[in-house]
Amino acid sequence: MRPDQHDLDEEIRGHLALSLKERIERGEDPTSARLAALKEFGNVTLTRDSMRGVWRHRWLDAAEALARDIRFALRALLHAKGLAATVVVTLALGIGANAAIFSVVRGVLLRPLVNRDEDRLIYIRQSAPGLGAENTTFSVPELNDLKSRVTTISAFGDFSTVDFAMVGLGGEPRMVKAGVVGGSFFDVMGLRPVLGRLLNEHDDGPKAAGAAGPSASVRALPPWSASSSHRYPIRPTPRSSQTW
Amino acid sequence: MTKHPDEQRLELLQGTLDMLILRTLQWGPQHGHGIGQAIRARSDELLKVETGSLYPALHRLVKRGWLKPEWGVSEANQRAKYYRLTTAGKAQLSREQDRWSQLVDAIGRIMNPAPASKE
Repeated sequence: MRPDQHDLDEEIRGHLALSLKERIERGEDPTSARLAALKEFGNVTLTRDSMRGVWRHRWLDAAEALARDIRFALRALLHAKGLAATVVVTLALGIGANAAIFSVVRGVLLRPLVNRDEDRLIYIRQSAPGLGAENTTFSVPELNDLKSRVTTISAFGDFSTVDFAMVGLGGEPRMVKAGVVGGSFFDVMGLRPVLGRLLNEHDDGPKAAGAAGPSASVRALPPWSASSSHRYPIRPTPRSSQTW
Repeated sequence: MTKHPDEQRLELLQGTLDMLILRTLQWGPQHGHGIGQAIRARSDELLKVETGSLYPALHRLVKRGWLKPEWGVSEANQRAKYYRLTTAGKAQLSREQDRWSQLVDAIGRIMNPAPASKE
């Protein structure tokens, strides 16, 4: 179906022959008739190209043009080696710097919290504007009320902070800012220990092993040491000077 | 036949060449040269189809399945490609003819409004 080059040439030759014959029959001189026939036909190459163009696939044309462009670009780059090298180095540095900055931003700012189900985690606070009290603590009976009556929340992890003086870290006693948590706190937050165990329900209540004082504690590591935590041996739990 | 000077020759209206080719081939298979001559003669030399438009158009019509090419021997005793109207080509011709008369009619109404339309 698709005509080849020979086909197209043959068709054009047939046309010219007919045109020539007609002119000669009309009484024209063969030489001038031939020229006139060619002149009337116009641009043979262009016509043949557009005949072939009808049969060409458009995407094939585009692919050919793309290959030509790439070859041309490579040749041009070979002629300007210095410029090409400079551009490549500039791009490499630019891309590298961007990648580095983005890694830092992602790690520090964008990485999600390590908590389990952070989208289900809520922070409950109470304030008494009339008394000028912002974000006050809950009493234990209040906590018990919440735990026993609120049905829309599946688990509570209660926490508070306390300052106490600690001795035994070698040297002077010092004030330590500590968090006091209920047994369910770490489970609710979905945190896992790097070493040892976390506090759980068994540490709660007056019958807990360390009821007389906080014998069980959890030490937080600075975030940047999380991966090299084995270098931080946990010392025996320090005894608090405060009795509970 | 009188020869028309170039100024009097009419430009082919865009999109009418296909229709003219199909109409010309209604009389039977013809080669490209013959089609060009026929269009020229039937229009009293007013229309002249350039070979640069005619041959690509013929190939386009073959590609669409409206014409079927076959090689034959021409009056010049040389191989020539003859084009024959296919069944699909005939259907296309009647479609284009309808559209053409509608177009002529519509343009005619605008250019020469009938006096009766004032009512």
